[in-house]
Amino acid sequence: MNTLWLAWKIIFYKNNPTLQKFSIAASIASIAVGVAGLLVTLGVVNGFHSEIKSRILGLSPHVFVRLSLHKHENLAPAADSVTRTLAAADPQVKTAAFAVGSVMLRSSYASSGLMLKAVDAQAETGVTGIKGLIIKGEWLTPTQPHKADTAIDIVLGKEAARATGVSIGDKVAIIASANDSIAMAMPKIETGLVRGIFESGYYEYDSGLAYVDLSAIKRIWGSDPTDGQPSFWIGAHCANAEDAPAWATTFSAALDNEPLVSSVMPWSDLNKSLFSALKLEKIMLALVLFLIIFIASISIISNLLMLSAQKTQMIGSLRSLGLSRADVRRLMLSVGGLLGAMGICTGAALAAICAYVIKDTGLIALPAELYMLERLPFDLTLATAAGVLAAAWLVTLAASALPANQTSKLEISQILRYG
Amino acid sequence: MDRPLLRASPEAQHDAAPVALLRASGIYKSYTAPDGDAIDVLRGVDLELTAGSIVAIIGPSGSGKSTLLHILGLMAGPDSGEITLDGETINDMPEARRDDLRRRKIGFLFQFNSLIDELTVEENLCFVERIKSGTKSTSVQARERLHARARSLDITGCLNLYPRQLSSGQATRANIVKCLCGDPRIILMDEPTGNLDAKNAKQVIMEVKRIVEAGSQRSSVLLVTHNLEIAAQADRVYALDQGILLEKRPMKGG
Repeated sequence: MNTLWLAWKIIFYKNNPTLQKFSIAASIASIAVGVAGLLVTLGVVNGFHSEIKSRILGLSPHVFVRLSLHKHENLAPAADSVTRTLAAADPQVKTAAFAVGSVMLRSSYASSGLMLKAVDAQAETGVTGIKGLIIKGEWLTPTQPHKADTAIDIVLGKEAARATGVSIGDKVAIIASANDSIAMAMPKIETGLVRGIFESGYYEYDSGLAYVDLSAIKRIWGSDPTDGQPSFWIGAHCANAEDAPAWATTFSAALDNEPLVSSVMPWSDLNKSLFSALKLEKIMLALVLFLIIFIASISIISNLLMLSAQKTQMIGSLRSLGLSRADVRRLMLSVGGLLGAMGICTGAALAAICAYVIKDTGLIALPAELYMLERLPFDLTLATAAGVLAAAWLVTLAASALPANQTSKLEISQILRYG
Repeated sequence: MDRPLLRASPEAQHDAAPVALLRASGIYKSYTAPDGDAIDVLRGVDLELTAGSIVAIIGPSGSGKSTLLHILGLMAGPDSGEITLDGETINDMPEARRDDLRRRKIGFLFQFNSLIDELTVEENLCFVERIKSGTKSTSVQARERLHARARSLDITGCLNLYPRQLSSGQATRANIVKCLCGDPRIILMDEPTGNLDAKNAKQVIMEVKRIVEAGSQRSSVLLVTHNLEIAAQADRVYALDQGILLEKRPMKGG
């Protein structure tokens, strides 16, 4: 405690030379910038990660079971069978069958290619959060009859609606390839009626996804699937999205004897490259910024070496009072540790201000078509922040260890003789 | 006449009553010069400090006075010879134990101002008191004792000043109070009055004598000085010349 007190006094002595004050301030500032940079970067990358995850999960089942079907009619019995098997493995699981394929949407103003998801409108709301994301109009009505002469109800993403210039009640042409068109080269065209517009906040979905009821599947893609269009799936919703990989393994084992099941995968596998890229980016940025903190710590080394050179007589005098080499080492480490702690606290305060600006004011807007999000996200847990601060402090202590060790090796008689 | 000492205190050997606090026997110390030659600084020095005594060592610059003080203060080891402190042989003692002995039993006064620049005089004295007592805070009694010593050496008005704000005389007196912190049994003083005028020097050394004699510890003082008037205040005076310690007599009565 005495060494920490003395270290504090040495750092904050009001009559320290200006150059020394500047050097101390520079050390603190450089560590502060490194720590703030690391915290903000981690916060933003984590924010991207969790924001994208939550937006994907808003519209995505946790586990996907892919079915190999040659006829649309086989979907219902296959779905029943798979659902029973999944329910046996996890009584809490909710399932919904769907088909998905690419279509072209054409309005009076523009065209847009997108993925069309034909869903069981009732069951889908138990598996994804689509109903809560409707911003205009309404979600599909499950009992909606789809006679050949009526328009197919369709729910579009906000960006897709904007791109095609349609709104609630407008008609659009749904153009898909189908095997019962007169010639294979000719696409099948159906009329859709915009029933609702959703906004997930995830640009990929908002610009490239639309929903119709499962009963419209034949009208859009013909009687049988062609070249994998559409593909058939059962989506499953588990209690916790984070457990999806484990549930996928369990479901896969349970569905081993289902001949129509071709694969089972968690939602994270479908977005693997995106999350891998985010993780790699996080690691690389953290490494680079940690190097900045390390380099900043070198300024602590130079400060301590300067202090050691200036204070040799003081160190000799302290040793003559009975302080041991370990006490001298502790004193120098205390000076380094205090400089580091002040830099780290300043950095944490700067990061908190940045976090407030990013998170609470939403001042920093992003081009959504590039970054998939409209605002810069920020998500940093206390545990992550504490880990970064502790690691940064350990780096500064490690940097202080070298000069502290050198100073503690000085022989008292040599110090007192030659100063 | 000066005579070399085989045992520096032959009277003490004849008189069984005084207890030897610090005894140095056959101390040799040499340094290697930049050109590689060995310089013999101390050549077979014998010295004994008994409880309650004041011993002065005089000698020209470079005669090895400071080296002898550092060795006796357990801050450097001799090349050969034996040192005992309170009956314990120091030579083979681990460094940590020597540090502890120095903390508990030895007080130093250096030629230079050894107060820490960043602390006020009072903070300096309290800090040393805490080191010497091994406590984390200064007790009320210790603080009162420090204030009493500051009064007796006339530095009460300087307690809230920083060392750079002191005159050289005030700094010397503050360093003397610092050296007496923790009531050390052995007080080693290197030119204690170098920065004081004759009157103040004598007053300071008388005060040191008074404090030593009044203390419950029956401390011993070994002082190195150029000032023969100061040396005359000692019970015994030695001269160190070319590494050999000689007793000078009679000196008492100045």
